[in-house]
Amino acid sequence: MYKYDEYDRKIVMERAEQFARQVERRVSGDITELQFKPLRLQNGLYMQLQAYMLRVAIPYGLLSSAQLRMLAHISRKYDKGYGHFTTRQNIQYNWPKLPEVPDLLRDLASVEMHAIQTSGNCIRNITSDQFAGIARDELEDPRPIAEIMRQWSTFHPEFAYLPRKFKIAITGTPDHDRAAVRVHDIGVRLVKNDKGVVGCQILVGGGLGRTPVIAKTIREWLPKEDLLSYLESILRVYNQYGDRKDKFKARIKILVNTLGVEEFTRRVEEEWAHIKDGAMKLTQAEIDRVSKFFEPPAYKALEASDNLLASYRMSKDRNFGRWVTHNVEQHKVPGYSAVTISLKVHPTPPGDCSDTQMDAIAQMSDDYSFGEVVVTHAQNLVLPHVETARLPELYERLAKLDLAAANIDLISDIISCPGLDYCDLANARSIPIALDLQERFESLDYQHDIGELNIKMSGCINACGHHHVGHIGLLGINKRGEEAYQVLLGGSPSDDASLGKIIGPAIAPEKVVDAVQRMVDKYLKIRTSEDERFLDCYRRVGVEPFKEAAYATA
Amino acid sequence: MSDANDIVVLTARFLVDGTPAYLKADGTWGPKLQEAKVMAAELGEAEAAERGKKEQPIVADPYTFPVKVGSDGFIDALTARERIRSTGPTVRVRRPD
Repeated sequence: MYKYDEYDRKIVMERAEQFARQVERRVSGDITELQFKPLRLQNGLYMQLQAYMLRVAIPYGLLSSAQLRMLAHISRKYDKGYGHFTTRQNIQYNWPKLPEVPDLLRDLASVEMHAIQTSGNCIRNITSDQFAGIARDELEDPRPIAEIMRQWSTFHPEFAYLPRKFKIAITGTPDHDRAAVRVHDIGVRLVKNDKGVVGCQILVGGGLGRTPVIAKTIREWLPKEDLLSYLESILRVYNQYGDRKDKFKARIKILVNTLGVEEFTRRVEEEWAHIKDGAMKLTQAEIDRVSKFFEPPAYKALEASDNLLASYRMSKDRNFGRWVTHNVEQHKVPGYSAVTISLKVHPTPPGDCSDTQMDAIAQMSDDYSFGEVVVTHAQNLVLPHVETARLPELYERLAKLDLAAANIDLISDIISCPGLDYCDLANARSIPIALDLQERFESLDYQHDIGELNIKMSGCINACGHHHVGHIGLLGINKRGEEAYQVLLGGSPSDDASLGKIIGPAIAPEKVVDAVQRMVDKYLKIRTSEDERFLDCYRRVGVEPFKEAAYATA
Repeated sequence: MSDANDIVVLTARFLVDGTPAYLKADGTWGPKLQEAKVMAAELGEAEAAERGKKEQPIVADPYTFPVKVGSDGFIDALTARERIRSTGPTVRVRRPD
């Protein structure tokens, strides 16, 4: 993984010291909250409903075991013993105290981490596929390009005050998008051109929130060496023409829609013509230099383990068999597998992880996975390089920590924002509804019968829980001061990207779980076979049967 | 019983930890909604503006929210948001204070 150089270390440590002085001035009363707010937000420090919240950047979700141990230490020392992994592959701490934040940032800097650009109208953490570098279906490891984009976007002076926040995702697996690139401001897909050369396909103007939009392709193929100048051109057009007056019209998706994709593209290309051969040009030497940080670890020469995995799936220990079926992915290196550790274990809030669990996972990553851990945008963790033959012992260790739930992509693997229990913007709670749903569908037999079904829920229209792209989406709204929930059906963030549609009037909190249960029951009755997923069934029959079920009264 | 639409409580966030602060009758800030001073909405708005200017080192972002007061003196926020804010998260916190 990428290692800081002296400049990286210096700027991150200097930022921590600068923020320490800013906190000092705020606590002493030298500056007002109005003056302090933009300064703290530039360092990822929000004022939330119950307390401050600090959002820490995890570039493309990749952590070393040492970094994860530091995140555990921070949750123990500065918080209440846990952290919350987010859909941006970051981690949030819900209870830091303002005077302690500078020390927290110094601790982060000591392991090459920070909270810079995790808030504000700038380019946020760049996300990627959790199986980047190891996926069998991957065309090319996207992490070197992700890192190059991270370096380009960090402290970029021209893009520190964009019209609105800006999110970029990249995938190196063009046939299996696990990074949701189509719902990002910019999505980058590594693809081959007709000569077989790998380059970048550029999608622009996707996003969720108040106005969900699927991104449009504005460049089918771009040489990698031109990526930064092309991104720079897109950001310049957005920076110049994006709406700065109306927050709700400020995202790039609105600009693309307003101008039309052809005109938007024309302006980008026009800008690009001026700068494409300038300083932004990436040399192969630079790409190679950064790629060296992502060279594969020292794998053993092992036999292929596909048959072993198949035998594990049929294990007499049904729980282990299911865990291998749902939580273990085949690795591109023979004899290795990637393990997804579910952080969706009732009654823990989705995405939460305790300090002791983080420490234990860090140790397991050292023992089984070359010291690497990846945060997924679905709020789980991945140990990317596990010898397949050692899966049984890893499973035993995870089970002892309550981290062996065999539910990846099943109905209890719910993406959920913090909602009204923590978030200042939320209209309704997310976590209690998610936990109630997990309790209702607790039986693993039942979950496995249902098959792949993604529930995603947000406590407000900002859509941090990606409700628009859930097979079932739940959106918390404020109905005359009380919580209520809209139900959406038919969303998907992947290659078959689609936006869920609201099926009818909002329902009361106590009715949500029953409504979901009835829709699931309906699905089980009308699916053509066990192979027809909930989403496929919905696409085949339309909304009516599900709507009827959702609003039926017993 | 008071008219629910006319009375408010003045709240803010303690600067040190960002937790909810409620203005008490003695003019100081406390963490408990039940100890808050209940006042007419108009007075509350003026107080919020005044406090926002002069009490920066103690609290941040003062604002008012409507409440009702029961015959037993119980102060009840009229929105889910303020009820949850006054009592803390409704889900398990790993290491509660």
